[in-house]
Amino acid sequence: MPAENPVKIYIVEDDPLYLKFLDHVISLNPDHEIKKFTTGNALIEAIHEKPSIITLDYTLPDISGEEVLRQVKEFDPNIPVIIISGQQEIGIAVQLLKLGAYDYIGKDEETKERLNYAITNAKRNVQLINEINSLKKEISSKYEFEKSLVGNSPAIKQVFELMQKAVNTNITVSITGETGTGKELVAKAIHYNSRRRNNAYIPVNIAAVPRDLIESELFGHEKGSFTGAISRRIGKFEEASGGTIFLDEIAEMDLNLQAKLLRVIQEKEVTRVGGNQIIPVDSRILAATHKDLSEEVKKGNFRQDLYYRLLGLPINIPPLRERGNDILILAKHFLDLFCVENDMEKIVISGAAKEKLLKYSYPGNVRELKSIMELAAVMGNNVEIKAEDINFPSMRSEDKFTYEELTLKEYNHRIIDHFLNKHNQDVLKVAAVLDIGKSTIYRYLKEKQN
Amino acid sequence: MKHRLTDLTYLNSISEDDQEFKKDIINTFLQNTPLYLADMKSGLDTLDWKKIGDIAHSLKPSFTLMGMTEKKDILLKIEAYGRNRSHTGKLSGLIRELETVIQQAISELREDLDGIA
Repeated sequence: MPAENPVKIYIVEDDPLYLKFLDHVISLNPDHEIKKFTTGNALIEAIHEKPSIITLDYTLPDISGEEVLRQVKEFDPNIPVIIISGQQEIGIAVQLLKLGAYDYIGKDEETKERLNYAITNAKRNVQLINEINSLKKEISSKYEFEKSLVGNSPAIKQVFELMQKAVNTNITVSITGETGTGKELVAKAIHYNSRRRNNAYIPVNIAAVPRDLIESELFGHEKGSFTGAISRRIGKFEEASGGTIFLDEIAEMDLNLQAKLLRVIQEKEVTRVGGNQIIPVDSRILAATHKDLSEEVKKGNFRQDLYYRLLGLPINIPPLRERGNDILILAKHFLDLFCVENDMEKIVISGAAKEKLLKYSYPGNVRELKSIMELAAVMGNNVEIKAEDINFPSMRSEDKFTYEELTLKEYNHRIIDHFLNKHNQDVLKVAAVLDIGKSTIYRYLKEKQN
Repeated sequence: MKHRLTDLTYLNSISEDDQEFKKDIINTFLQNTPLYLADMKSGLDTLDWKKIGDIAHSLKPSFTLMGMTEKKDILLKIEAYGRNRSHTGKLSGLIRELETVIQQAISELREDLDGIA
């Protein structure tokens, strides 16, 4: 009976006697599905069939084993190639191993044992590589734009458009938005959809790392460079080389370090703390903050030159209160997710609960809505979320209009802006909701334009 | 009694009681080795030393499988002389020696083949 998940092993050997020997040894394991080739070119023609493992004779009648190995590695560097050769010269073995051969086995009395051992190890290797690849795929699909940021309001659609532009190049991206809007999700989605997706994504929260350690955290340190540096450590920039570094809460970085960061961005190289060696790094930078960086520049808290370097493609994630119907889409999304994670039947949201959800201002944004919905699922009757199951932990809806002192006219404008954003700039609807004339709104919009 | 050149201990150990496999391997040796030898001789005629060295190289695993370890040094010499184009004058004698060895091995293996069920 054929094995359920056969391991495809391709044998390349021109000597008919040895080909039979290898075929016999390898086929003793019923999981192995064998295909035999007597020339290097025949194997290269079949390489698109993606064998799991290749055993390759070094001396072939058409092209050298070295050339075959090179072409296999060019097609897929992860296919283990076991060289089986009668060559005694150690130099050839070293050269082939350097080129990426998995193992080098001589044709002698130990071939059978060594080959079985090499195949067992190579299979384990292939399995690990497959697992890593499937996990990578899973992560990528988890961070597909539509899955990572839920919603279809014009404001969020604009964010999608900008993200799409960000994935096609290596441009630095500055992500701004209030706390809880999903800045890190945007950063991850950009990385996992970019050409760098197969390399590391390294997030660093500047605010979370003690001030004294942040430099060594970012750039690494040499052994003995400061008390406690007991061994050499590579920094996050080096770790992210080839991939992406996400600098969260960038506004919290102190001015001295800002100067060093500017140098790293400009020169694309780092020097570890206490070291002299200049190390080239190729890490794409995504930076985020909930603060207005241009304001921080004006206040003298942030270097202007670094601000312009980091600005790159700015993506501003709108606060949830400006995303209108997205509130309900997200509420349902979080509720469904919670039910799946907790093996619960699907729960619906009542009309009254929806109305209540739409009225709130969400100072904690999407993160806050998620916990509100999770709490509601726990508090409710497992069938329907009612208005009383919705509990707002922080502010009441009107608080957001009064958290700073403004003139009455300014308050009015703020209220009109709020409802325009909430109702997709639908002037008639906003006029009806606020019970004011539509001309008042048009007048305000014209004033704003001027 | 003539000293045996072949020793099937290694072949028996890897066959794991698969008599068909054993017969197949021996038959392949009986068919192919004379062809390799003929090729080698034609190399002598055309003074193609590299070809002679390469064929000797290809024959080494067959000698291992048939337990002909004590005669392997003939192959190693032919391989080295041929590929390095050195001592080429000795090649003709070595190939004659190799032919005798192969003829004896073939006759031993034919007898063994008859004995395999």
